[in-house]
Amino acid sequence: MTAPVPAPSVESSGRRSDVLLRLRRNRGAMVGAAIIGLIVLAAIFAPLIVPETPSKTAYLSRLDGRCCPGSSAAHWFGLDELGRDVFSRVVFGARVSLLVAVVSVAIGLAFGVALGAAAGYFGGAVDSAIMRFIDIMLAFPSFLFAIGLVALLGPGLWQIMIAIGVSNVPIFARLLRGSMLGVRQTPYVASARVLGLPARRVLLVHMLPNAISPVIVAATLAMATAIIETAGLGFLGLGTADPARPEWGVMLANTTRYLQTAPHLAFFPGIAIVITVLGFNLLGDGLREAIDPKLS
Amino acid sequence: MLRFALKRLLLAVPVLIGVSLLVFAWTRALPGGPAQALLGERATPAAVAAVERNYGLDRPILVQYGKYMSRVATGDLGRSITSRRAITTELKDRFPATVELALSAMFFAVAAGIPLGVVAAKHARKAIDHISLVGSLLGISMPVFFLALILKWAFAVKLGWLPSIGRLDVKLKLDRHTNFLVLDAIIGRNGTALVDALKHLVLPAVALGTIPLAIIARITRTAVLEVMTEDFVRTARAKGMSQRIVNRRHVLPNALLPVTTVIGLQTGLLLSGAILTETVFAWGGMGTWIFDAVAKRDYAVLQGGILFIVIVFVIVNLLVDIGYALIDPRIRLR
Amino acid sequence: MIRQSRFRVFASLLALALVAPACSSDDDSSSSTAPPATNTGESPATSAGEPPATNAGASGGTLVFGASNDPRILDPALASDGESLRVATQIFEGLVTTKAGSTEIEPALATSWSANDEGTEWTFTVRTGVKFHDGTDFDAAAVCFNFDRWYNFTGPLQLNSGAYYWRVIFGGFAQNEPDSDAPETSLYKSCDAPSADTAVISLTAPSAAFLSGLVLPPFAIASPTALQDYEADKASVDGDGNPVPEGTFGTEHPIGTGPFKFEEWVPNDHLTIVRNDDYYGTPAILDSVIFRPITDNAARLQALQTGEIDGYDLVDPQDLETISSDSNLQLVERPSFNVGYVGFNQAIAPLDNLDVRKAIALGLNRQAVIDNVYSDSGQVPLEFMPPAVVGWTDEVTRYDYDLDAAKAALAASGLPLPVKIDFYYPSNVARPYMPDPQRIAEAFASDLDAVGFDVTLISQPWTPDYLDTTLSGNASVYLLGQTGDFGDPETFVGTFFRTNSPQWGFDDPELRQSLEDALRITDLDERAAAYVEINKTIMDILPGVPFAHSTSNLAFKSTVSGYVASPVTTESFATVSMSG
Repeated sequence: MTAPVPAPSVESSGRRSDVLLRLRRNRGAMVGAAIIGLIVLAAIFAPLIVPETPSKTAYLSRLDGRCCPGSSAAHWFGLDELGRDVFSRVVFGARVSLLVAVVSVAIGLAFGVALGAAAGYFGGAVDSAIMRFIDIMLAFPSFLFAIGLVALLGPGLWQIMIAIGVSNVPIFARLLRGSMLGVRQTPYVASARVLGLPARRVLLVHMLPNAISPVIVAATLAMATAIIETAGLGFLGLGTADPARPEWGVMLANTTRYLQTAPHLAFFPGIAIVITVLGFNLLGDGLREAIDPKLS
Repeated sequence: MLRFALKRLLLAVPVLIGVSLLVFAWTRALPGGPAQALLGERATPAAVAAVERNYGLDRPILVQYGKYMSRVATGDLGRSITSRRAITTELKDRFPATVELALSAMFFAVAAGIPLGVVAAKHARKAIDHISLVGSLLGISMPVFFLALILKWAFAVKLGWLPSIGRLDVKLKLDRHTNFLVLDAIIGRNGTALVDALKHLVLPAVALGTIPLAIIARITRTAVLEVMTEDFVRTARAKGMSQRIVNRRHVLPNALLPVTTVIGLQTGLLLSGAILTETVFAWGGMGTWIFDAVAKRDYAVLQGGILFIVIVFVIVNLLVDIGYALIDPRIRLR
Repeated sequence: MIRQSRFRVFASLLALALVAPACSSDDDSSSSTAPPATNTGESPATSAGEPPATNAGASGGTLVFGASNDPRILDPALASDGESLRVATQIFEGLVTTKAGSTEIEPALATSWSANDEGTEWTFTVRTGVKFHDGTDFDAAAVCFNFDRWYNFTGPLQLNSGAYYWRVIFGGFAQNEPDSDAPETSLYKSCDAPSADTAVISLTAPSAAFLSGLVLPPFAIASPTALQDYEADKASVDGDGNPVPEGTFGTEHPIGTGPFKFEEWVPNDHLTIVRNDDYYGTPAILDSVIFRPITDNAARLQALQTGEIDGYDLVDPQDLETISSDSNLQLVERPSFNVGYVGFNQAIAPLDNLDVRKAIALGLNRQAVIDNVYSDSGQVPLEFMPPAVVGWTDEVTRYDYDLDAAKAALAASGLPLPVKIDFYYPSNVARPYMPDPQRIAEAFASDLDAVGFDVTLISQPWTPDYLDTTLSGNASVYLLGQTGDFGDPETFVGTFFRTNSPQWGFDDPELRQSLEDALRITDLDERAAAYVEINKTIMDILPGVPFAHSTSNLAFKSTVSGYVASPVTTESFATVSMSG
């Protein structure tokens, strides 16, 4: 169904310390890490930073009949269509985005790694069966899959996390399985098996740690995708509708109709998405280069 | 080679069956049904029951699936409940629209992406490279619907350089034989229509093609760099070949391998990923058709449309696999 | 392998393009009504068709109109969605119609009419010398052909998704399908054409509403020849049970008598109608009109700004200022004829408690919503029908915004604070009476939290989930509304309260009886008085809180003139012209 998987260059990736060293030297990755760090901090300390903790309260009267006032001294990012402070909502939006990114990728990893490891380790019939199943899931573009799941489960934060998480499973499964297959061939693992070491040990100690690096890279990039897909789902009206938990995509969805009269409403959440996603992409890219420098 | 292709083809069949089952079960599992969608605010429970009886929606699922598949075998994909037209007719109208858009987007991505990647590779680690890197990352990080709206607003509304909606100026007459408007304009030797169709394609193609552009640029850069450091390139240089000839005969063809793979993958996804762009530009293709069908629980459209997309996706991937195997004989031996 | 993962992930980023803006304005016709009554059996002396606004400098031209979606079918008898009816209104005419811009009835294909004393026999004098677009003659026989056709619909055509308005006005058919939920007896008995210009329609019971119902586009007269030649009734049922219109009448040959005739329809792309030069009345000014479906509201506005379309309907309230401040564009206001309300389901606690309902009514700052969400293009209602309708009164109990009174009412209910309620609103929809449900719901929820409620907002997609939930009585507090089909109170309060709809969760037999009785009163003043009393009763029961009568707007280029907006959306392009 896809291009065959070339073997990973296990030889050059090497020790964890080497990887970290290369990572630190990579400016792009450091910028990415810095961005993510900043956003995580903002998310954690949100209530302290913002003038107005998002809640169900609306302040229509602040609007004075027009939507919507732009930046001002009191409201750095202006007011939204219900009179609420946009800056506060954007900062709090980081919480939802990060939560969804982490949880959905975790779900994807949990099941994906399990499936991929099983396929990669056991090979043969088990591998075929699992891969057929994965192929069917992969026949759908992952976002369509996510839409399908949310349409089935209903809108809501948890449903979105599950939907995006599940749509990630085949990607991680296939990746890990390919990686495992490659690792399996290496003399390192072959000797371990020849030595008669117990299967579980070979799997966990010898194969998995070496096969996992591409998955780590993919996970970082998947977080970026998750944030964009959440925004997309929000845009489709399948997002979280809770006004007390602003989400960037939902904010974007609600405000594209004001693009001509109040562009700041769409601009700030949009930029927030771009910067956050950029951070994850930079970091993920840097990770990939650090693990496999030949590719840079 | 033939065995490889056949093997791949055979593997695709159970996948397709699985997909059709999955989609079918999914459409039936969706809450609500076409009855409510059709009747709107007048959907009293009795009226809903009457519609469901009439449409055979109250029979057991496997029975419905069986009947559906037997009809598909005869080429009858059913009818859309909302538009009352045959699915096959709708596909004939909408599929070319989406394909034309997807191909234009891919063309843009390739035509701009490969040169950009080559330039970045040539000046690796220098300013241009870094700028292009950031640029491509930005391209990937931006939600596509956001980009489409901005492009439309900037170039169509504010500057007025390009049209904002549709595929053709509604007052122009054009015989649509294939429904690929550019092709139809060429066939019909209609110069004005050709220019107009192309003008309508620009903004949506750029919006849709920006992400593939970024990806292709990156891959090209990486691939070129990788090949440039290969031994055989160094050997060629050592033998006295000029850099330019080396590039043309050795670097580029080898670098294009991974790029071709990417292109193949992206095309399949572009096809199914054009919903947003189509709505923003009122394009009339598969994307909005399917999304509206989800909202209206138009089962026939969902089944037929999604199945069709998946089939195309599978075929494209199959072709990519075969193409890849053709280029790299090592693959066939797996 | 690493590259592949990147492909996968980036590729799925691509698939992300599966996104569409949420607010597509849904233009489905939006009322479930029974017959209204604004006329007695007497026919008014008809004034000649008023001269259309002619623009001295303009004649001809093609107008491109941005519709919100493609029409479904051009056979008006089987159409109930806004865009199909919009086109049908240009091509077809009925016996009577509404005066441009109002709900007053005036002659169309019938020049005068009268009823017998019992109100069961209506005699229409129809025009002579009128031809259908296919050249065949219009006459009384054609009228009866059409009525009989509708009465004799069978199979899936009888469904609400088929001949909806026939069911609304007349109830049943000649042969109701088994299991059908249509009433046994139809209001319609028969139609006779004793002469070429006289058609007599007999009803099985007197009805004050029958005449007003006839203004609806689905009762337009189509060419019998065309109906037969193009097999308008041929609807087979496919393997799924789907009704399949096999004839081409509704898709390629909709033939009526109107000022425009059908030219071509390329589905999802455009639909063209051209001027009927043989029209018996004042001919249309434009050469042709092209309807272009554009589902996204913002896209329609942009298409207007770039000049790709010449006009569109249902302007988003926050775009009003953009358009009015643009010298190249203009707004045409459609008089308000709708009501948006917050509905209560009294079968779900605590909505059964009148004090709770009062607390909600008093605690909603409706004016703020009108000012900001409707951009002031609307007003706060006093009751469940707009002021333009007979039977409206300002003597109802008022619930003007008063936070302290609201808190007092809630305290009087005796319930422990905060009182929890679930507030439902639809997503993915914009209705004329409710352009931005989410914004309205969030504003209201915020208001109610201040009163002492704890509101949980629940949103569902408009179709099918939301409508299903609200109409079958599973939502406690919800946003909904109604656009009137014609100028009669029955289309509002009758529709809401004359039958026991589960959405309200209560049964008041007295109220229902008074609505039944009012429906039968033929004297206009008596009817008005009856409905005044009914409105007062309703606002005392407080089954919900009406929060908006909104005016909707169309936008056109400034070079367009002559478009007359109607509260019941029967609007003709015949009077429209373009200059420059």
